[in-house]
Amino acid sequence: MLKNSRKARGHTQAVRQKTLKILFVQLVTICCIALVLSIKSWVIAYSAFLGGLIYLLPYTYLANRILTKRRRTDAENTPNRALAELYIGQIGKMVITAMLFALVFVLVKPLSPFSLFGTYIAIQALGWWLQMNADKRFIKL
Amino acid sequence: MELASAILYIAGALMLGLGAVGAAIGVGILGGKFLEGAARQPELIPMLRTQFFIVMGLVDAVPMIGVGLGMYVLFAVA
Repeated sequence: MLKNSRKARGHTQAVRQKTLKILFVQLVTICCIALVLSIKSWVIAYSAFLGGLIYLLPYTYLANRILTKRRRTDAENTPNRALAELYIGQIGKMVITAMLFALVFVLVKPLSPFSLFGTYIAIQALGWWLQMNADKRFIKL
Repeated sequence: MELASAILYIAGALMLGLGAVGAAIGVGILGGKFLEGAARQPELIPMLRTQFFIVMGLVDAVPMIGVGLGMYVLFAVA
């Protein structure tokens, strides 16, 4: 049982490391997209940057909450508690995303929506691609 | 003009609502499978948790784009 627990904890840490790498690649990509677009227009560039951040910040929150470094107690490892924790993290992510979208649309003017949504969708697609290619994880599933 | 903005509000509400329905179905199925797996093999909960996290990112991506578009319609267009 203890051996299984250690193995599972090692698995969580490995996934945490891979997720951090993916987040870093996404952040670098956002900066590159914004830099390239800044040649064309400043508005398009910061819209793209904001679109990327709207994806990245809630995802980082969820990743940090689920793939935590701290050791979980046995009470936290019951199925119901674990699922409740996952759902709370997911609801938090959704709330943060909706709030960030609302804040950007209310506070930032002028804004280029095509650039914002384009970057948001592109960074999500990049995340899927990186997740699927990280050690061919979905083939193992 | 009032009819046009009313239609825009309905469009935004539909985007948010249908996105929420899709996400709810997906995350509900995912949670049910997580509970099944965790009940069978409780020692695998940390592993199942990480798999849940990865698949959750895939499930809620498109509804989140819908939420963004809905917010845009509600706050910037209407």
